[in-house]
Amino acid sequence: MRILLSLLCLAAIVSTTAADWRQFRGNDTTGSSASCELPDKWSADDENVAWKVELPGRGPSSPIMVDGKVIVTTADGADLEQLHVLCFSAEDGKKLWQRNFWATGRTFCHPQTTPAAPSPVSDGKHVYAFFGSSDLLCLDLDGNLKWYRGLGHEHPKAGNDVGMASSPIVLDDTVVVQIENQGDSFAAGINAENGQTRWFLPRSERANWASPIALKSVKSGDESVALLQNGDGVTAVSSKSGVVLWELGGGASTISTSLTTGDQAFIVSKGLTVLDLKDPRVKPEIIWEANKLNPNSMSPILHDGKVYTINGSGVLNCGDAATGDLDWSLRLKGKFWATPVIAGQKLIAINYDGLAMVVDLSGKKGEIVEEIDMGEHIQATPALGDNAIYIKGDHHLWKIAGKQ
Amino acid sequence: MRLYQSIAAGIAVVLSATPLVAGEAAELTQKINAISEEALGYPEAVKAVTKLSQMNADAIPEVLAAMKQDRPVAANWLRGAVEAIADKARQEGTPIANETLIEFIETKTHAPKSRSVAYHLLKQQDEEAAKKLVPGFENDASLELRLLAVDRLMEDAKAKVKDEQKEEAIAIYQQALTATRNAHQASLIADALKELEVEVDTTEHFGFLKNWHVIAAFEFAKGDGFDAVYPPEKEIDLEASYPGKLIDEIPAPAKWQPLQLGSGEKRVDFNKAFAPVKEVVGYAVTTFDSDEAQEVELRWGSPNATKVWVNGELVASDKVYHAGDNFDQYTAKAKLKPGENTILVKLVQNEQTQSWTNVWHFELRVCDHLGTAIADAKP
Repeated sequence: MRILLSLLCLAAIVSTTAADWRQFRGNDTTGSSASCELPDKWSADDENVAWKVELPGRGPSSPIMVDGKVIVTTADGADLEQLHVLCFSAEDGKKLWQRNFWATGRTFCHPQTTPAAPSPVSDGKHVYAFFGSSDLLCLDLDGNLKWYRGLGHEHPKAGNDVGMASSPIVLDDTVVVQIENQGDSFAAGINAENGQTRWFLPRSERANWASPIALKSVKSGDESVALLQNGDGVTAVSSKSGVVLWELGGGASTISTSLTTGDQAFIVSKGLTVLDLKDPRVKPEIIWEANKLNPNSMSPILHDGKVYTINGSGVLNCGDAATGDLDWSLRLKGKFWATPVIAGQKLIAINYDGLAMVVDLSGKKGEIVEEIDMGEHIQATPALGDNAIYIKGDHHLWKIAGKQ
Repeated sequence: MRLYQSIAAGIAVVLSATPLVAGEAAELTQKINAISEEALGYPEAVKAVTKLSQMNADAIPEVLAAMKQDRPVAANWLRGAVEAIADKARQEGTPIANETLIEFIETKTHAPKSRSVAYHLLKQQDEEAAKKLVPGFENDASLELRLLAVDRLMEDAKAKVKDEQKEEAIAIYQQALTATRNAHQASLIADALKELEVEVDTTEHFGFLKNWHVIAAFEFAKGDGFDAVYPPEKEIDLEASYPGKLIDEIPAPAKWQPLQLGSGEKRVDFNKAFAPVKEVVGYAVTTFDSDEAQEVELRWGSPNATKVWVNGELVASDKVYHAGDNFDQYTAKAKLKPGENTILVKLVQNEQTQSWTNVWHFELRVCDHLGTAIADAKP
């Protein structure tokens, strides 16, 4: 038996891959992958399309990639009550499994969105899919349900009729969700093992679509810290206990989500505010504030010492991550919901109409070098991995890749 | 590397293969149905769903049958298990027999949710066999299945229009309208019938109440007006007048006035009845005659904060301002007595000043648990 178990463990170890993109904006939430090399151009149907699959239902949630599997969520049905989690082989786009559930909470939303607005997240072994109806579930990577939690069923007034969008995070075996609206509002830490509530924190009863982020702990053995963001500011809580460690007022975005490098947090507040995270458990100092780097509805991303945002007018701004000084601006086309991503020296920004703009970052100033019409609305932030970009539109999921 | 993975996968299959033991599925589904809203029983349910998911296709009917309409969270656990079992069985070339699924679908005593899942399992393995069942769903208790039958009727009607068989098309569209409980489908059908020169009153179809008395404007009281008790909450006296908020647009005192909706109208609009003003409280009252004592659902929508009373009993309180306005946005169960019942709605307009908050209205209907309109029994 020991030999068998050893073989199983060995198989589990060797099956992990460094190319995972396990949550909205990637494992480190920077939205960038320095080693990812994408083709210079592609088309929606042919050129450099490794595969393209049709999706049942739709939703602005981002795809994630775990262990060679691309996982997406969608919703459809008469009242958008059918919630779907789909898994495709990253290699050939074959659908490996699909699991369907009924929303148990409110599914009302603006026609542009659906309850599949929050992005799923993975710890490498499981997928935690969260929906705007406040339904939260855990599946293993083979599609076996581990647990299901109807937070919307438990809190029937949770939800706003524009639609909910906050994505969960997972850290220290705890799934952290943020459910803030004009009805029942709370953040909760859910035991990733069995779906039970570890902690429950009442929150402001105002609409908020921003997602929590994970602040890394500097000392091993310390409890991890989750940072909650809303119109009041940010609140740092212990991810295991939910104890509030510190708060910073002054307001923060209710749509776009902050990011952290571990040493610093780029908070979407007063434009962009950078915090020094010497110890995430202690209230940090402000390093700089830059109102010109306000990201509006898209979230900031970080790459090679520069921070990138897209403002409400569709202008891409590049700032110095150390000082907040604005380096350059570039007007993009159209309206955006999807946060851009950066692969190597290419920033890919996709507007709502599905126009993908490839911006070359290698010069002194960004330059649009390619425009690709994907042919359908796109609200989902793409995923990167293995020299490929996974783009999710209203009806399709693409893998775009160069030579394999 | 592949060798290691193959060996590991093979061993995993051997270790996990669990033959079905009669009665075992029942014990496992009971554990899942025992989970509570306080997240109790979850560790036991985690073990149960893992074991269930490893069973063979013979277990599917038993797991489906355990789905209960009043346990929506547990139903999702069971759906996850059933889909995993069915997936594995299909991949192994041993899917559940079509006949078993068809028998399950046609047994109306099973929960609508479970029959819908069974239908989709059938569709995955034999689309043609599934299609044949659709016409039988026209009056189904499963609104998911009924939706399919109405879609099919609409397709049939469209084909008749194309073939210039107008009378037949009208008849089929009207059949579809009678069957549907879905607002989107009803709207499409009404549009199609209008093209065929047949007017449809969707207000009547869905049972929106049309005869109201409305009164305004009471003081918002810096937000406290939602909780403050104004005279209409204490007594309904349609002849009375009360001190109102002192604003130019609605001179005091506040008095009841009739408001009647016409064909196709469903919105009780205070902006039209009074004036587009902010920071005010209004009420609407109506009577609904019931043939018998019965439990009904009140369903309403409003962009404003609302409270609803039936015969003086508060049935719902939603302090939500300008977050949207949807068909059947809010639902509350209510008990009607035989004869006349009073329905009172409080409609609170807050202090927000954006242009899109300049709305002050609601719509309300009385129906059964499927959304079927219950008609007012007034002569």
